[in-house]
Amino acid sequence: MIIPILQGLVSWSKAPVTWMIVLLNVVVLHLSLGFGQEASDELDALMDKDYFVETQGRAYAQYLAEQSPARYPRFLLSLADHVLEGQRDRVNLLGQLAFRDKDFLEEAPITNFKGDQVAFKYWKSKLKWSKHVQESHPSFILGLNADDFSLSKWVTYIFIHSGWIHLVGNMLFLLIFGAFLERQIGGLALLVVFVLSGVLGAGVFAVVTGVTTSPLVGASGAVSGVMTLYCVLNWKKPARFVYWLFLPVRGYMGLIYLPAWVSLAMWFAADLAGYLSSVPELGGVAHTAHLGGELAGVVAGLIVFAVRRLLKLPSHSSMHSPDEDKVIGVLYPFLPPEPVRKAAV
Amino acid sequence: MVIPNWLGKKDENPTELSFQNEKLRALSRPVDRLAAAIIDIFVVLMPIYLLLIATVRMRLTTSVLLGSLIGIFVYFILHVLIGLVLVVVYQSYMHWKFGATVGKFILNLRVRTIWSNTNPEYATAVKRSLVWLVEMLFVGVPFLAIFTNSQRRILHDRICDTEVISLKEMGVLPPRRAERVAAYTFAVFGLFMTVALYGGMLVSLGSSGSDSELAALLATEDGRCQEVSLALDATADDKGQKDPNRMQTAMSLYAAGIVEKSCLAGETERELDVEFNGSPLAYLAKAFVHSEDADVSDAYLEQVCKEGPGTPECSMSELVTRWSEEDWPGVEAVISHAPIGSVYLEIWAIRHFMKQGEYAKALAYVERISPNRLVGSFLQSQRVKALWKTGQEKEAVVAAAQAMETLTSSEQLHLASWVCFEQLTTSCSASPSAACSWVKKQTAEGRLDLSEAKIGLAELRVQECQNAEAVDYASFADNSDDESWKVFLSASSKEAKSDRESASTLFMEVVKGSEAAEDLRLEAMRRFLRVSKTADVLAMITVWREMDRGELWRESGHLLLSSLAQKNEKLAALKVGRDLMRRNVLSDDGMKVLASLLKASSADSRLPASVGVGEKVKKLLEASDDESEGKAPPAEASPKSDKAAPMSSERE
Repeated sequence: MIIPILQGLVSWSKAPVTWMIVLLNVVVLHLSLGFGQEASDELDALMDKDYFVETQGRAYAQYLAEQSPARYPRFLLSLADHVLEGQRDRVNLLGQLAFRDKDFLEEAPITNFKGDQVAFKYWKSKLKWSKHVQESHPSFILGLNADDFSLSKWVTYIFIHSGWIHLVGNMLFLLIFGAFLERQIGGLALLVVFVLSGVLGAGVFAVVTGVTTSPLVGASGAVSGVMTLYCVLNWKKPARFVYWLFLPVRGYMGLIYLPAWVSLAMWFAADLAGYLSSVPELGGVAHTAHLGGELAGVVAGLIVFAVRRLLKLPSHSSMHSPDEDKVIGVLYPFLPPEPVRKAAV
Repeated sequence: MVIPNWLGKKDENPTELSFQNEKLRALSRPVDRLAAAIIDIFVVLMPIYLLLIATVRMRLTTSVLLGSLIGIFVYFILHVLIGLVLVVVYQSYMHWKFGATVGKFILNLRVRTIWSNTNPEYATAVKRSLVWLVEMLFVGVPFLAIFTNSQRRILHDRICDTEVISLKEMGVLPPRRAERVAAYTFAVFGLFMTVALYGGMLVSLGSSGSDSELAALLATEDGRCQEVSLALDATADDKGQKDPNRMQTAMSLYAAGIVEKSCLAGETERELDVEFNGSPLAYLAKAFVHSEDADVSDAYLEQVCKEGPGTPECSMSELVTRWSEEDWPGVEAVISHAPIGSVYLEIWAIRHFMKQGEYAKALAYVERISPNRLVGSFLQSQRVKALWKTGQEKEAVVAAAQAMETLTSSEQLHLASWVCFEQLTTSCSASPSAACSWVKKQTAEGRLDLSEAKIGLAELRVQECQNAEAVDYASFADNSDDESWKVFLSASSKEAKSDRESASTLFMEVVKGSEAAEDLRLEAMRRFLRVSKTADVLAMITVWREMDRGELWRESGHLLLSSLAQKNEKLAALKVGRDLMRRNVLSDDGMKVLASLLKASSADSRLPASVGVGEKVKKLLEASDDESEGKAPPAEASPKSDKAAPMSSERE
């Protein structure tokens, strides 16, 4: 287990923009959970209703059978065939997947499906209602979705998360790298990089994976951009990580210094593997948005290098401050004390 | 070499090898080796592995989603193979080229051959890696050899003539005795875990095989219900011609309680969602499938008459609606006007008449459908019950004896228990009957079954009739987890010990218990009336009035009426009779009881002689209503609302 040191926690005054972004995300999530709770509960209750989801699955199967095979992945068409052949155990899954298909959901209310007319009538009425409920949900209002591609959504999606775990994961890494980067390139530049990385992340996601009716939310693309920029600007400098080899023995936990490019390579490999192994129709982590953010970080890094060279500016190189070492003792009390930390200072 | 070299060739001239640098041969610490392995696996190999298997993982996911067993098998094997090859290539290359993996570099460990103190040959490195993988298969138990071997060499080191040394200044000493003891202890535990792991895998594989066989037995390939297919096969005529209407068959079987709702669901889904045959019958069946959701079920019932107005299905949908509203005259009207020929509708008619206590009408419908091989067992059972309830007890016993020859053992048990219990309800004179002998035989073989109240009660009555004093109620109670049964048996035990007051209280508790089986509550009521004082019986009227208006309410009402009449509690009996009459469920016997109660009444003389008994009772009850107005006790003045039970529960 390797965890980077929380450098950004050292001081509010040294990284105000980073902290402002974090606070903004926290406030937005808190408000969205409050306002969207009722809609979430109603939608969850509907999703749990087999009758609704299975009817949707049967409608989607008929819809897919009429579509050009090139438009849809092979497995989805096979799934539809299974359902049309009468395999009951795949109906629910297809019904769940149908929620992500904008074209289907738009055409469904005016399509005449064959079979159980009572079920289809019920489903269409509930579908209309669910769309109405969904549109009132903050994730839908702020998140990037297939129904609304306006430019503002490309930015607002960064600031809303699906839950506290999602938020904490993203904000932790933003604090670690953003705070340091802010001292290196300044608050305004960090904000620009953060937002543009999010925008590029959404762009790559839209092109490679495709935006669906399920909204894209979260700052992970933007945070990936910040992390990547940090690694590009400090590519050969070692970053300080805490490691623990799962052994409760002295010497098997401590501080380790890895070159920044190693971190970048590992993130890139993880996101690439995640993207290659995921089935886009199932949703989940938007690896392509991460990759887009990383691409933005690399481009931003190259721009910073070019500007520095053109203007002949010195690069900031302070890696660790004594302040940080003060908090390390508090945050990681189990670390072996002096030798390693002395070396760091 | 410490153990026989059974995997490879022996090194040549081992004795010529020298040990040039003893310091480098310090024994490696076990924790160092573990830490190195953790780094190798989680830091180095895992990211590479995840990248290598990314597309295979995606295909495995889609195979799982599609339920493709071949795909799952192939991609899973590929997963494993890629992992194994990666481990072997990484370990063997690194050991051969550098004498250490990344983890070992970090922990200052090196792999050396014991004879030459050099990096192992490539073949040796590959062999070492393969043995390492085999050790992993045994959940790592062989690795514990590091705590027992004097040179701290694990199996793969001993087989390949290698050892892992530490470049640190301080090595580690050979294992101490305590280490060895601990290692052997863990080894035993590890071996047990290995056996449990692989045994569990084999068992789950075996059970999944039998599960799929079971699934294949229950459902045909096209998702239809296997029980319907079997019924159709069994009823096919001599030329092998089957009734083509599976839905009719499924509905009849469901109405007769022979198949579950899931069976009906399979048939309707095939009909509506695969073959797109939106027939009225399919919609009707869907209404039953979704009976727990009243709105959805009602929508299907409406659709039935839209698809086929005037059809038997439309009549059935109307019947269901009226049934759910507890509009019993309405149900009867629908039955009498329904088109003839739908077996399922007639089965519902039988169920309705049996429920309402109109056994003669039920018997007429049974005779009308019989013989029907599809629902033969249902008809035979209902015929026996209807015959018995209409007073044709000898015919019922004969019919039961005939039925026993064709029924399944479970159906036999139910029917024999029912007949036996009815025979022994009031007296033990019929104890040696064929049905009771059958029940006795079951009891003697130790097959006590209290899961269904009627069967348990029959067994209990048989024992009570054999020797009332010797009945072991406690051992009976041990056969059931049902609290109501335990209370009932405790009450019966008190009754046997002539503790009538306690018995009365406990029986009343069972009658009140809405979660207890209805047959048990009815029998508790019967026994309560047998042991209770008049005041308690009068108190029971309140309990009775709070019951749901169903079969139990009707039957227990009649018992209460008879008991009150015997105790000459005229006013209370009249009130019970009035309630039963208002619901149109007062039986002829009940009518006679009321008539006899009122015979000597002065009110009787006010009516003309030409008025029939039923009419007379009605008018007298009305008169008694006026007389008793305002005199009723508080609990009776506010009886529980008679609001109809939800349709879904009625349709079960």
